[in-house]
Amino acid sequence: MKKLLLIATLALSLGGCAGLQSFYNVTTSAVNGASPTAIYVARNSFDAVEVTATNYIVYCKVHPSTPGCSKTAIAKLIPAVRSGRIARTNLVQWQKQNPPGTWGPIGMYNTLTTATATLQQISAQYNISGVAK
Amino acid sequence: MSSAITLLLTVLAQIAPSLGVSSSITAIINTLVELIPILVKEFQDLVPLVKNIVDALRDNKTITDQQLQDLDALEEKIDAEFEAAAAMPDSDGMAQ
Repeated sequence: MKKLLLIATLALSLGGCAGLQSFYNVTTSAVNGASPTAIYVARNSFDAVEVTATNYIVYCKVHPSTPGCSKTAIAKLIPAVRSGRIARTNLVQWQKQNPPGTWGPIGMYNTLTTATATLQQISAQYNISGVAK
Repeated sequence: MSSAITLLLTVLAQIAPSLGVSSSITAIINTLVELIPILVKEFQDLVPLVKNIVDALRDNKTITDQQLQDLDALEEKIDAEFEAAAAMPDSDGMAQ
């Protein structure tokens, strides 16, 4: 299964770099922004990382001596999640103030996906998902 | 395992704006659908989020008001659970 996930991840990464690049250049310009579907996917992706962070924090606070539990990791996760949540909230508020289907500002979208990537990096650095649950 | 899944979701979020090629969308959907049985077993918390992404990409049309309202409610719950976890007292014995 790990192989499948690795292959899928690599395939997606490569797909993003190759044939989709030209389309990306068109759909992520300052004029076009990010589509409602892209924003929806970004929100769900951030939420998934937040759930993983929550599970890690709860588990490690209840079982502090478990190998892999780290106060430093928790200290990094909490502000990173809150920062990402602000980015997500800003994007949601923007959507609610604009007609349905309107493409969102690319800057807000990038802030949210960057926050998700930051949390993913912390997760990888401390093997957070290897401890949680 | 879930780190690979969250990594996959992160990559998905980054390339989502470029999803205009139907074969790419189909490949992503098929991959996510394969993951769901494993998610159900081991990572139930992540299942609704992955399903949301599958539904959004499969339909490939405007996200409905209902989908947004459901996600708003889910995020409210996720945020509350995170804050509850963050507010739990620290225990002795945890490594730095």
